[in-house]
Amino acid sequence: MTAISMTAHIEPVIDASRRSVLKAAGTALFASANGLPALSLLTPTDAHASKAPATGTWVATTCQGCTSWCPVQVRVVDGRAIHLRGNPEAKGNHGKICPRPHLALQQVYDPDRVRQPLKRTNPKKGRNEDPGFVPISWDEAMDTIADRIMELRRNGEIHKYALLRGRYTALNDILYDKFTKLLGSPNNISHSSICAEAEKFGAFYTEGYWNYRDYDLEEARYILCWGADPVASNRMVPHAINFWGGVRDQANIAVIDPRLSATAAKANEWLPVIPGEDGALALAIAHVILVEGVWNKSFVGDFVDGKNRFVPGREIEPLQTLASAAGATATNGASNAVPVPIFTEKHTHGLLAWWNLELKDRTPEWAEPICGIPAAQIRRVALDFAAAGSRAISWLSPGASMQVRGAYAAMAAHALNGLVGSVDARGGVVTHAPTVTRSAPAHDAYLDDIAKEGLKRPKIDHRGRLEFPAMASGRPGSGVVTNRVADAMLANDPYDLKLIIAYWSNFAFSCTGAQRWDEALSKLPFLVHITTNASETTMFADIVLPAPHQLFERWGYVNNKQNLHSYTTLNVPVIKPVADVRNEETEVPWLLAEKLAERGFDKPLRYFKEMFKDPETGQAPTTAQEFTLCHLKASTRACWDKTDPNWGKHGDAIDGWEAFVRKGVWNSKRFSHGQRVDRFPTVTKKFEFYSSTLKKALEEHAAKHKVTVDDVMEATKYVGRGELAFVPHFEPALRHGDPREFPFIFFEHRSRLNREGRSQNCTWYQAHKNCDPGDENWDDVLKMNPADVARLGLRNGDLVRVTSLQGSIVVRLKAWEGVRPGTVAKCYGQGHWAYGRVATKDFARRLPRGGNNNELHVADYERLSGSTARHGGLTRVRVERV
Amino acid sequence: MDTELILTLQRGVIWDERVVGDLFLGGVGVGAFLFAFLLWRFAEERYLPLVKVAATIAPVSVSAGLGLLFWKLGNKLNVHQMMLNISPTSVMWWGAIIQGAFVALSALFAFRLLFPQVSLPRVLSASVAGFLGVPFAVAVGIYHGLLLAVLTSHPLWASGPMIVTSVLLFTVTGVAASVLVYLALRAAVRFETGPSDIFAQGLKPVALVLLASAALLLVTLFAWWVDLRFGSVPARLALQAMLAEHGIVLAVFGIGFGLLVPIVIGISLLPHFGAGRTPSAALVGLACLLLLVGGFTIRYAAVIGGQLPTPLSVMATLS
Amino acid sequence: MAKKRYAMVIDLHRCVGCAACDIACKAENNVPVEFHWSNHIVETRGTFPNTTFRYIPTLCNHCENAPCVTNCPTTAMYKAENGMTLHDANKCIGCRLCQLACPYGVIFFNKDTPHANYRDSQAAIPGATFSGREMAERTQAPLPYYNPARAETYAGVRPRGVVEKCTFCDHKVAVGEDPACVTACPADARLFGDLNDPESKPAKALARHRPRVLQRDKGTQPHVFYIREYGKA
Repeated sequence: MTAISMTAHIEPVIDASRRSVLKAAGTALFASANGLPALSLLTPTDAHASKAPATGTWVATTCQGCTSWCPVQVRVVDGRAIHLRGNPEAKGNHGKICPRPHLALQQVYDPDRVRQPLKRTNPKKGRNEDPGFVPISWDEAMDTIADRIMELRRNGEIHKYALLRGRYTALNDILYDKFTKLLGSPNNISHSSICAEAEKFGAFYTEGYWNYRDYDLEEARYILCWGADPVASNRMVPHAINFWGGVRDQANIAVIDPRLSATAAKANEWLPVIPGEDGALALAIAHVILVEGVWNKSFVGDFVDGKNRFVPGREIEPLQTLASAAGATATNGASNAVPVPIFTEKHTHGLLAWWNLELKDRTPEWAEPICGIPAAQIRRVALDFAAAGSRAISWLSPGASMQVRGAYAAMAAHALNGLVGSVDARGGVVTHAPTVTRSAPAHDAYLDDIAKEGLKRPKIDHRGRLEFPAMASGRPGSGVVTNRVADAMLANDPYDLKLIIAYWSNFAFSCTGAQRWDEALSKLPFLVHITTNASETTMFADIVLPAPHQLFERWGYVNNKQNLHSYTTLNVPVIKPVADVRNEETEVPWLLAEKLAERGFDKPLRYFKEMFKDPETGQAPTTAQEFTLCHLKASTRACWDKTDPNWGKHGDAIDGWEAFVRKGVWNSKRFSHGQRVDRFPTVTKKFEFYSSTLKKALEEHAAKHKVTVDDVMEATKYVGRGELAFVPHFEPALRHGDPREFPFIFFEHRSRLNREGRSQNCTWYQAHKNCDPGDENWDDVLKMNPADVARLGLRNGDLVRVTSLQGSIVVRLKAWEGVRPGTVAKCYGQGHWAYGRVATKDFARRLPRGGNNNELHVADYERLSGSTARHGGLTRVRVERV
Repeated sequence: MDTELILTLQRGVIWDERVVGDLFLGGVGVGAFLFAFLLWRFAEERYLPLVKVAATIAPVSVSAGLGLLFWKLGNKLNVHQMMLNISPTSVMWWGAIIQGAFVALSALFAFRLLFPQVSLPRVLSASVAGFLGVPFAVAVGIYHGLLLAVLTSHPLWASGPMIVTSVLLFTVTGVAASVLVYLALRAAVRFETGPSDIFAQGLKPVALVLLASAALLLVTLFAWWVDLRFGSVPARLALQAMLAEHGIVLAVFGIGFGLLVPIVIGISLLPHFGAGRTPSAALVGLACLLLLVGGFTIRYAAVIGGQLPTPLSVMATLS
Repeated sequence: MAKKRYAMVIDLHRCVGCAACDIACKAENNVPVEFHWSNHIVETRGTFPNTTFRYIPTLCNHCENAPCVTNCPTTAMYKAENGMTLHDANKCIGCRLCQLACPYGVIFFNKDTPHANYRDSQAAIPGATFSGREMAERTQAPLPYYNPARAETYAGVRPRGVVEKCTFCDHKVAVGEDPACVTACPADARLFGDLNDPESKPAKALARHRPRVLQRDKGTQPHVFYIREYGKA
């Protein structure tokens, strides 16, 4: 047995007297028995000792309950996980965790987990069809899937295979990327665009950063949250929670959110914007900053003579002949007649163009009726924000961007950082310090003809079509349009998918217009679902494979950033898996590759065996488990291997793999400010108010389709024309449904207890749900302003039917002053009709607890980024008593 | 809109009907004992059957009440812990001791009256048991009020009238129960009591005491209401909540049928407690029965209604 | 060494109302899901758009003058030397008088055997998913994430028929750690320590800020104090 084994010295916690009963050091952390990773973190020295109270050991791993991806530690006692805490070695979350990791205990030990591979026995598929799942062996499951893959390859249809990725670790490059390509399918489809791609749009088309930003909270003096709810969700939750008290001591906080969010409750100003009208508000703020002359002159520049010419409604001629200063140089008047650029811009580009094209008319008084925020408040917030100068943060989130016309709102909100010069500044909005991990080696040599042929096919998700520019990182057609896959499948356009492997994703629940996925998946010939729980998507599966829980049961790593530090944090199997699982990102493709090799197609297996080796021993992997560790160790090598050229260069210098596993996290050096100014990866290298970068991308997309940019704007449902396409400009919110028939604007928000859509089967989730302002325990309430409740003759606590053009759900009504009259809000996450017996009201009868927002939301898109629009009140509803 | 407050508390009443039963039966018991003792000491021989009935009711009723309480305990097997641990600050602990002693003394008293022929040591005479039992009976009566009155978290209970009510309740219900049972037994067994008019005449003071107590009870209930209605905010809210939930039952069965009707009956019957006249046994029985219904209803409303959750506006008071 | 007087100070200015305390408490103390040793009051006040929200974390106040202790007929509820209000499940008769006496609603009664979901033998999909009982058996514990350290000073899981409540994590304090709600608080909003030590975190915080307690007029003299404001006053 040549299993890769390793030993780890793990510090027992608390006092030595208790420690004596445990033999902690030198215990095999990872041993291979019957092909399963068996993990024994503590071995009682004898049978008697096991009866003594154990305080256990803290073992490092990673929480992926939200996108903060925090380094955490798990207290393990007798092989059981019992507590969570932040990894004290981590500089990102500095030893803190939010409520989510605690909930993970109830996920890993959820009785409703899939215990072993299953196959469907009822060929009929549908929400109300019993799949008739029966247990099968891993071997049978892999044989069945391999046969399906071979069949597609034989028939020249391998492009009809798709891999749907959901939550993932960085090891996903095997299953998601390499394996899909080696088979020959172009369809590795990620979930990214149902998440937050439109948010990245704002930063990219102003400062060239296609990523989420970090924020220098410690030094900030003003924080303006655009739908961001940092103490509850977003991407740095424990860090933000920990710093928020300090932030409140030294900074003003304003929260723009149609709902009184957790952060709004802790803010100085709440701006309950009308959903989808964030853009108008951002433009008015920018207008005030310019008119009042309070922009950051050292970052943006100034009029040549220091005289503010931003007068409401008045265009500014960029080249002007300067009138000489009062009489003093009158004699030289003639030489002054040459027109000069009236505004000297420093680190930005296109301020006057933005003013002339858009901002000049965007007064607070203009914005007030559109966005619902009083002009006086807009003015006050704008002035306070600008007064904080480069220490003012405009914090963009999906709420203000994942809207049908959200791209320009995202740009406008992010452009405010440019106006006050907080981009890349101390106390401002920053990017990330470098990390040192690398991805899997090149696979090109292992592509056979069938694969090369398949890869030439267009992707299933319509990206790059005229109406779906999906311009990730400035490249048209490069972004995923996740939610479009259902429509593509239903229309067989561009072809009919025949085989899907989906993992840690549940699009039948998590995509807007969820009912379309029911139909599309019912129609799909073969679905393999890798999942912890029997979720909505699982109910359409032909093969179900139990997934390890990412926090407790598998190897992996992820990179992220918080608190001006980037970090690489390991997913570690801290307990023996509860179910009969395989690492879905590495072991499953390996096992499939073995089966494919048996069937005469050995390219993937050869790629795995020939291109990967353990950096410590130099040995190639011989088993799926070895392969996982080879890839993990090689990817993270620069974190822990002294011989790597990057070791210690950008952050922690950890000596050896074991030390890395023990520590669990590699921290980068602290982000250093000001490196990007004038080197922004935009077309102009400047921070662009007039986005030459967007212009280039749009023109490229238009050229590809032989149309004008205006045609692109039309096809993507935008109303701005001409040069407006290149500056942040006002776009009225697009909503589905006639206001007369559907009088309420429906909008949704996140829960601080959501481990994405997966924690609703935890009783702890249900029992503490009212920590989300306005919500109720064990329920999924529709929040409506009490004035509307009274007007409709309804009562608090009534069961109501909520209906949109897309569908209808029945939920309990909550009269609550935290939402604006005319709007109704509901948290995302509840309304599962599968997943387990806590998440549903009746699992067997498919009765949900509450209702799924995605069965109300009409499937629509922010098409420039390919994003699914789920915010901005894109769906109107009516509300009636049941 | 009003302030919305949410706090998740354990649901349901903590002390249910069994505790109401305990308090009610305990009141009946001590009332019956005092009635029996006084009658035994001061009335003539002919009232001995009534004395025996009342004396018997005392330990039986209190024990039955304790039985209900025991049934209610979550961890019955631990009940001996009350004896193993001295908890002098706990009214309930004192109550256990006092009630234990009372049950023993009242049982002995009843036993001596029922079975005078059984020879026992002199110290166990009816007189000794009776005289010793009186303070315990009074203590038990007060205990029943005090048990709730010390719970300051419950404004409905934590008031002086609560204790007075408790004392009056045991007087009313103890006597009423004794008379009622006696009448029922007499109807069934027909024992010799001598001329009924003389018998009735002798009981006139009892009737007067009963009437007076019932009237006083009415006054006390009113005082209780005043106390709460014009008391602190929590008291007002607690009263409101109780009345909303139990107000109608309390008014109809506790005060209307439970006190006013028997008082009216009693007054109308008073002239019949005289020379040559006999009050209708049926009417007397009815009045007694109604008083018992009234007593139980008042206990019920007080115990169950008093536990309605404290308004969250009170619970959320930070100062 | 001087007698200890343990207390907690909750800084509402730092608290963000995330409920991590509540959940961590359940994991630490094997608390049934229906009970909330660590709990909270949430309050929405005002009329749109002048609406405010606040969250007040609550727990046993470990009152100096504890009505639950005063009224307990068996001394099962008692004041420890160090000021904690503790409960001995072995002495508890389940009369629930403490629950009635406590003005804060922080005592819970086990009407039934707790953690029923891990004793249930039904599976959501028979043959495909687990039953609660199987899951508990797999981990050989009363519940899979059972914390054995809790049993050092209190019933590990309190049986049917007795009450239970927050103990300031006396088992953790005994080994020099802070209570679970304190360590789990990502906002560092909770300060725990000995008020008799003027250098302790809570003592210093109380010296600096005006302390408030819940239902002061009840005269219970709580050992859980609140400082500063949650949001806009």
